[in-house]
Amino acid sequence: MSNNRSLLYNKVALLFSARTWAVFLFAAAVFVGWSCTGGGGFLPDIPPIVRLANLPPTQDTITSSNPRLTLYWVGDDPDGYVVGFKYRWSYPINGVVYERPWSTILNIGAVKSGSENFALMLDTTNYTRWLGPSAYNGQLSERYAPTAYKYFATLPGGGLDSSISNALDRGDTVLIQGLRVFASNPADQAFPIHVNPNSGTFIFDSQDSLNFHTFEIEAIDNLGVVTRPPAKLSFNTLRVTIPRTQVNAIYYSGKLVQPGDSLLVIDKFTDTFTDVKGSAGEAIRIDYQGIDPNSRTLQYSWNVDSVKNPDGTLSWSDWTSSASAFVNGSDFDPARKYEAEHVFSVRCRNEFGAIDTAGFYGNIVTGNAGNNLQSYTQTVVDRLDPEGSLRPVAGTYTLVAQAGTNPGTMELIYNNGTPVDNISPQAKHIVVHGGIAGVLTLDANGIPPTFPQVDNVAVVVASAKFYTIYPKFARDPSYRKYLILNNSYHWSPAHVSPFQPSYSMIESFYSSIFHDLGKDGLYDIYDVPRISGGGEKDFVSLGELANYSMVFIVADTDSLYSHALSGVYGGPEPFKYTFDGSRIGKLQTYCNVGGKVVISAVNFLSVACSDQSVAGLIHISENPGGEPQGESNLDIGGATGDSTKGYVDAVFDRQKIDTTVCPAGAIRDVWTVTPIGFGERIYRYRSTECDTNTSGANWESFDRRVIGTRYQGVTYSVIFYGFPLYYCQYGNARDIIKNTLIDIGEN
Amino acid sequence: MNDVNFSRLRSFAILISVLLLLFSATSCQYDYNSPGPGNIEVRLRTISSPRNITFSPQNNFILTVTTVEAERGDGALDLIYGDPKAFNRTPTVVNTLDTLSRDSLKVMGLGYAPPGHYTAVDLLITPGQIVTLDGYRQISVCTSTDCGSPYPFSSFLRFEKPFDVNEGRTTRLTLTLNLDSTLVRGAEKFYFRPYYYISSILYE
Repeated sequence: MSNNRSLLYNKVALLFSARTWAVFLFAAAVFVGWSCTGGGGFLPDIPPIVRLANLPPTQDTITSSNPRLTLYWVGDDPDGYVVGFKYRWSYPINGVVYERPWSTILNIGAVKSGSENFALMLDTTNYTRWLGPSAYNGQLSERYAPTAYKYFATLPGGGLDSSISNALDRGDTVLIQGLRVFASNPADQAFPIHVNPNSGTFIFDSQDSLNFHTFEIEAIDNLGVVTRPPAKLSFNTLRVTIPRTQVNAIYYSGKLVQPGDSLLVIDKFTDTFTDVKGSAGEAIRIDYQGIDPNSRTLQYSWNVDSVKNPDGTLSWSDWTSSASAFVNGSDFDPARKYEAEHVFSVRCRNEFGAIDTAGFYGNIVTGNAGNNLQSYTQTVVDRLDPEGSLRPVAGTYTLVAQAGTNPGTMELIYNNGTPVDNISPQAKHIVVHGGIAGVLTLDANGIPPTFPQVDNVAVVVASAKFYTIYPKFARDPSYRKYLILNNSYHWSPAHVSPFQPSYSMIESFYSSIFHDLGKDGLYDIYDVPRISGGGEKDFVSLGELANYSMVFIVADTDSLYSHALSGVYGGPEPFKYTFDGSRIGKLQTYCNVGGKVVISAVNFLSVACSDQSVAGLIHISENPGGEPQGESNLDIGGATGDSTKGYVDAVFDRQKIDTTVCPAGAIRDVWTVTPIGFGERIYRYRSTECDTNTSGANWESFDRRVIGTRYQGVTYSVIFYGFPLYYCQYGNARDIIKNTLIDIGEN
Repeated sequence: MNDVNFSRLRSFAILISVLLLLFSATSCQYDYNSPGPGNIEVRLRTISSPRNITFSPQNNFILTVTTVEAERGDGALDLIYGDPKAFNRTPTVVNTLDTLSRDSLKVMGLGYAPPGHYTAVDLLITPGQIVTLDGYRQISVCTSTDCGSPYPFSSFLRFEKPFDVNEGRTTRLTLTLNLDSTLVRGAEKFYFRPYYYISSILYE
C-alpha cells in the first residue's frame, strides 16, 4: 500500500516538476502572445506592372506611314508572377472611334511550331455562360488566365501532348482545363503576330487619312489581378496606300507577244495549250506585278473583257499570289469570244486589304519615246468605268499631272476643267513619274488622234490589250476546210518537165484527187515560194491557218532532187524552198490548239530539221544535233503501207521519173525515221538502187525502216509521208489520201 | 505385416491420385473446336477496249504488286502470299496487257485465311514507267504531279466489297483494273489514274 502511494506520489511529482511547469508556462505564454496580435488576415495583393517600350516623349505622337507596327512590352508582379497580358486598341472610321475587343495572351514560353514560335492565346468569346455577359470580348479573361497558365507551366517533362500541339499548329482551338486556347500564329499564317508573349506585330485599321490609335495593355498576375490603369501608347497611322499594279508582258507559246501579234485561243487548257509555265505549249500568259513597299504580301485577281456575274458585279478571279495568269477563251466575254480584241485587267491587294483597281478603271498606255509621246499612237484613256456609264466619248479632255511630285498623280478632268464626279478615287491614282500636261481630243472610239507634248512620262498600267483568233475548227467540230500548202521547189518554165513539175502541175494533181474525193470547195491552195526575183512569199499567218481544219503540206520536189534526176543542178536560188523554224513554229502553234497537218515531202527533213525541230511535231526521234534519227539520202522504189491501218503500198509512177537518170525508177534522197511516243509507223521503206554506179550502197539493208508516220494525239494529229505523193500513181495517191482523211478524222 | 499394409495403402493412394488427376483433366476440357482455314485466291483481270490498247504480245504495261492483304470485318489483316506454301511475300510482276491478265488467269495471291467475313482486299502496287505498244512504241507513264499528272497517285489500292471465307473452301476474288480509264492518254504520255474494282467473287 505504501508502495502504491509512493508510485502515485512520484507520478504527481513528475507532473508538477519544475521542467514540466516551465514547458507549460512557455506554451501558455506563446499562446497568449499570439492571441494578442489582433484579428489577422492577408496583405493586399499588389497589382502587376506592365510597361510598353519605345514610348515617344510626352505630348508627342508619332505618325507611321505603315499601318503595321511591332510593339514590345514587359510585365512584372511584386508579390507574385505575371501569367498573361490583355491588350486592345482603338481606331477611327470616318471620325468615329471604335475599340477592338481585348485579346489575352499567356505569359508562357513560346512553343516551337515549324520554323516559327507562337504564343498561346485565350479564346474569350464563348464564356458568357460561365462568367456572365461581362466576360464577353475578354473583359474578364483575367479570372481564368491563371488556370490556363498553371496548366502550361506545370507540364511534365515530355511537354505538351503532340496531339494538342499539332492541333494548335493547324490553327485549331483546343480545350485546356475547360478553357479555349489557340496559337497566335499557326502554321498557315504567313507572318507571325506573336513570336513571344512580350511583343506583337499588329496591323492597325487605317481607313481615314489620319488614324489615331491608342494601344492599351494590362498584365495579369497569378491571382487574376490586372494592372490598373493599363499602359498606353498613342500614335497615328496614315491611310493605307493602295498598291500599284502593272502588267509587265504577255507571252504566247513561251514567247513575248509583239505588237500586231494575233494569238490562237481555244476554250480550255489542254496538254498542248497549257497553263503550266515553261511548258512547251504555253497558252496566253500575262505577267504582272504589284508594288507596295509597306506590304509583305500581295495578291492578285484578274478579269478579261469586264466579264460580269449574273448579279451584274464584275467577275474577278480568285485572289492568288501568282504573278502570272493564263488565259483561254472561257475567260472572255461570251458575246465577244470570237472577236479579236480583248482587255486583261488585274487588281492587286496588299496585306492590309487595300485593293488597286486603277488599272481597271483607267487605262493609260504610253511610254518614254525619246521624251516625246507624240510619236506614240496608243490609247490614252479607253475605259473609265466597268459599268459603261463613263466610257470615254468624243470630246476634249485635259490630262493634268503635277510635275515634280513623286509619285505624282494624274487626274482626269472633263472638258472645261470640271472634274469627273462619278469616277472612283482609285481611277485617279495613276502613278506618273515626271509630269504631263496637255489637252486630248478623243474621237468617237475614245482614241486620241494626237498626243500632247510631254516629257519623260512613264505611266503604270494594270491592264493590257491582246488580240486573239478563235480557230473556226474549234468553234464547230464539223467544220471542214483544207489548205493545200505548196511548199515544193519552184521550177522556172525552162526547166519544167514531167520529172520537174511546175506548180500548176502539182496543184492540178492534188486538185484532181480532192475533186475525186468529193472535196470541191472545201480546199484552198496556197503556193509559198512563187514570187520570182523577190525571194519567198510570206508564209501563211496564224490567222490564215486558223481558217482551216487541216493543212496539207506538199513539198514534193526540191533542187537536190532535181539534180539527182535530171542532171540540172539547183536552179535559180531565189526559188529554193525552205521550211525554217518560224514556219514549223507556226504549224506547231496551229496544232497546239487542235489543228491537223499532213506532210508529203521528199527530202523534207534535211531542210526542216536544220532549224527548229520538226521532229517533235511529227513525233520522230532526232539526234542531238537536231537531225532526225534515221538514214538519209536513200533511193526509194516504193513504200509498204500498214494495211491494218488502211494504208496501201505506195507505187511510183514511172512516167514522172526520169529513167534516163534512174533506170530503176527510184526517187532519191529520202530519209527514214524512227517514230517516238505516240508516233506510229504507217509506211516502211522499200529500196531500189537508182544509180548503178553506187552499187555497194546496200540500200536493201534499210528495207522495212520507217518512211511514213502518223501521230494521233489527244489534241492534234500529224501524218507524215517521207516520200512525195506526187510521184505516186494517180489512183494510188488518191487511195492514200483518202485513207489519210479518214485516219485524221477529216473525211 | 505393417509393410504389406503400408504398401497396399500406398498403391491405393496412387491409384486414387491417378483417377483424380484423370478426372480433373477431363473436367477441364470445354467445348471448343478451332475451325480449319479457308483459302483466298486473288486474281487480276484487266480490261482494255480494242480502240484503245489491244491485248497483244507486243504490248506491255507492267504492274508490280508487292503486297496483297485481305481485311476482315473486325479490321484484322490477312497477308496473302503467292501460294499456300510460301513463307514470304515476293513481288508479283504482271503484264497487264497480256492475255493472262485479260482472261483473269494471273494469280496474284493464294493463301490460307481464317474463316470469317471480309470487307476488302488491299494491294500495294508500283506501275511501270513505260507502256510499250506494237513492240516499238515506248510511251512514258506519268504517275506524279512532278511530271505534270493532274491525278494524285497512291500506290495503295483498296478493293472494297464484302466477301466470306469458309472453312476448307476457296474464295476466288477477281480484281479488275480498267486500263481504258487507268491509262489516261495525254499528248505525249499516259497519266496513271487507277480505276479498279472487285468484279467477281467465287466460292469453291
